[in-house]
Amino acid sequence: MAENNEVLRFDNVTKRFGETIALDSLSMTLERGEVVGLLGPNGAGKTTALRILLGLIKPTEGQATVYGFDTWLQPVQVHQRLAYVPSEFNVWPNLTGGQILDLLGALYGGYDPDIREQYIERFNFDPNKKGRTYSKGNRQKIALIAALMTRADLLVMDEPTAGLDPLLEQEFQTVLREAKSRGQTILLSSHVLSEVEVACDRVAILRNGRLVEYGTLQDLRHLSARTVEATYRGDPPDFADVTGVEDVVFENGHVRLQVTGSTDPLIKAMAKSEITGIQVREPTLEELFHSYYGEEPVDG
Amino acid sequence: MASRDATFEQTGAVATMTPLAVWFRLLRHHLRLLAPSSIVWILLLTGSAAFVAGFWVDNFPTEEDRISLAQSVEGNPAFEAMFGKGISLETIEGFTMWRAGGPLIPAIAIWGLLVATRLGRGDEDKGHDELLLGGVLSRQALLGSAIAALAIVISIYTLLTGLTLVGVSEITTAGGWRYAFATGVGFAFFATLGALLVQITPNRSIALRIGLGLIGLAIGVRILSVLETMPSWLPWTTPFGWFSEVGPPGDGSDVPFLLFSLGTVLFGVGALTLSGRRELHGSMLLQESESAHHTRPYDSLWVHETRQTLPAFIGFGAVGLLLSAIFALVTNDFVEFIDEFPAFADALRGFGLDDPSDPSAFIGLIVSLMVLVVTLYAAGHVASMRDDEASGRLATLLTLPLERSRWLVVNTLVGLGAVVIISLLIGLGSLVGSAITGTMLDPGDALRAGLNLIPIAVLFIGLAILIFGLYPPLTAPLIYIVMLTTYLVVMMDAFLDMPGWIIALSPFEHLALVPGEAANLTVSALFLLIGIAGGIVGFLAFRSRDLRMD
Repeated sequence: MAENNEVLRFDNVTKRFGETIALDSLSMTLERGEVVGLLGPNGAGKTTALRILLGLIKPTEGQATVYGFDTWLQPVQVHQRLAYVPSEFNVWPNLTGGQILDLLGALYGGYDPDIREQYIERFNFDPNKKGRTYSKGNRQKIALIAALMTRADLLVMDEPTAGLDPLLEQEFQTVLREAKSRGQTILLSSHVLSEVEVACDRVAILRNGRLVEYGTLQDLRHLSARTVEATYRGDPPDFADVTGVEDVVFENGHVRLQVTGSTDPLIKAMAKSEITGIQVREPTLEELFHSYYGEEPVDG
Repeated sequence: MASRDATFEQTGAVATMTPLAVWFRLLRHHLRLLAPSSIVWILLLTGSAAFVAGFWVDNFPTEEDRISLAQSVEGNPAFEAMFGKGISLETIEGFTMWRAGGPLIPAIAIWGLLVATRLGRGDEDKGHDELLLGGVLSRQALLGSAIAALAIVISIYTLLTGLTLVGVSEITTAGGWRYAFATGVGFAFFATLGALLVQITPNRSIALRIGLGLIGLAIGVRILSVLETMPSWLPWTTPFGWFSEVGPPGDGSDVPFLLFSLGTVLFGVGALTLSGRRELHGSMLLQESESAHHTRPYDSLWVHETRQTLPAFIGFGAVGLLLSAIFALVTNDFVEFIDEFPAFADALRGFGLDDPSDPSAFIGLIVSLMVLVVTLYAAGHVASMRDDEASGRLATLLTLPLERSRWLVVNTLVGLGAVVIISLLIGLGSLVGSAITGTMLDPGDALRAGLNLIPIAVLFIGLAILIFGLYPPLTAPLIYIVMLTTYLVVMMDAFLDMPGWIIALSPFEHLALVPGEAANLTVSALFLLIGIAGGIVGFLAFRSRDLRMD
């Protein structure tokens, strides 16, 4: 059974497709009410992880559970508490948007029609058109409304804002905050790093099927290099043997460097010179992401 | 870096290509798209014509046999309904045109329509044309390339068929090439019709449905025109009637060549003109209704799956009902023919018919021909399940509290329900058709004839589910190949002289000609048993496998 607030657990989950290891011993948990971002480039294993979570594919090793239910063996119990927004929503071409929402709502086990209407209005969606006439953005709106109108305990979203215009992306941020305030748990796989940075409590970074980092942004920032910029008079400070300092660049009484770990040795080194100004900047999520992936593209 | 340099060089080369060179690249692309299916079609069509020509030589060796054949078949409405008008059947040229061309020309029409709508609109509907049109080519150039590719394919078909007939059979050079050109120009007519339809409809699917509807209508009119009560000009209102008039060199009419050619030019020019005027993803005439307020509840899996299969069900049901009714209109003529030619009656007894001169024997033959309508629907139903999986729509449903097994069972039961109704509609059609011409068929016989088709359809549904469960990407190709091969084996038995055990492997070989003969309950039970067993294994495999999306 699930422990207290635990909503989701990947327990040493591995998935192989022939010789290819798509997911390698993934272990992570989500607590109730958390918003967790899932990041990684192409082939990192994000889609495989989500498909295992949804019970669409079977883990080769390990176990994934949602509210204590095995995602492969007990998918119906899992899906009673979960709603999913895919990145590419293929609709039934001969059904109207309204009929698709009817069907998905009915198969979920019911929904509040008022809430549905509310989201239709907020996302400025016309439910009376045939599926084949909707643009990508409008198809995405159907997936979002269908998931949100169920008030499911866990929302699993894979690139949910793909195809939405900037105004609706903003509306989506508001919707996410509301969902979080209602106590809904959200797993958000996204390429929009600013979206993840604003919305997520924790971030999981996958690379080549392995979880390389999982923690709050604050944790990740502490583990990563911070940028320090300072101005000085007279002789430049000497950082030659200072622990954790690298990428030092001097330029006309100005120095810029990266520091990892404790800043104490750096401050002591600086104290030997006449420092007239200092600024320490935490890395953005984008910088963190690039620090894990180097030049690899930020893609799904 | 070698690979980066190669890419750079290639990019540079494309940038300096002339529009004509780009157009030829596109033509090559279109030919590559056409190649796999065209090879199969050409081999099948050319081979069938050669077999028929060989059959004539083997089975009617003497002048007397040939004259007897012509006298017994020419002008008989039953045979004309099935194969079209027979002209100079005592000659190999006349017989090949009638016996091979008659049944093959509808298949050629469907082939032309399928490939033309695919090249003309398939890529556009999938959003690929935006990429192609982003370069130096216009939409007219795109369609022009598709039409040129079709022209090359049909030239190859015509050449191969002409050479094969002249080379391996006793057919004269003029006769062989006449057959090849007649079927080739028929293909061109229907292919350009397809190219035109995709300009005036909102997408390929609608164009295809309208095209298939027109072909069905044209076949129906051609069959109706054999009735004595119909006006003599009626065959000239349908392209299949034109083909019936072609006949062998010297005895037939050359007007059909002119009509097919004129139609091809008109459709082709029309398609090219309209393609330059319409918007991408647009339509020149028909517009798809965007607004469709719905008032009926759409809130259960049963309603959903029924709604999804409805267009195919209506199409197959209508074809089954109408064709069996139209064929049954000539029941009396068939009975008279059997009375006049006891040798033919003896041949039919070999198929298990106790009394071939009884109208029910002919109804049994008709219904057994219609079995393909039911089995094609059955295979298509399971193929559409795979389509749902590949497109990700099934994943959408299965992330809801819906068990995989329930989805598969509901889908299968909806398909089985449709199979039962289509089978009964075929029985009903034969009852109505024969009743119109004054032959009172026992309604119970018509019902039994329809019901007799269900077990073989269950067999194919079960086999298709087995493939779907074990290796989903092969669902549609494999089940269609198995079905069409086993059907053709039986149809071609007379020409190929294959070993008995191969024929016995085909389920169609064991289909009783009910009501002309009693239903074979053992065979029916075996079909059901294999179908259900296959279905269960497929069901278990589906429950325990990963979903496979494109």
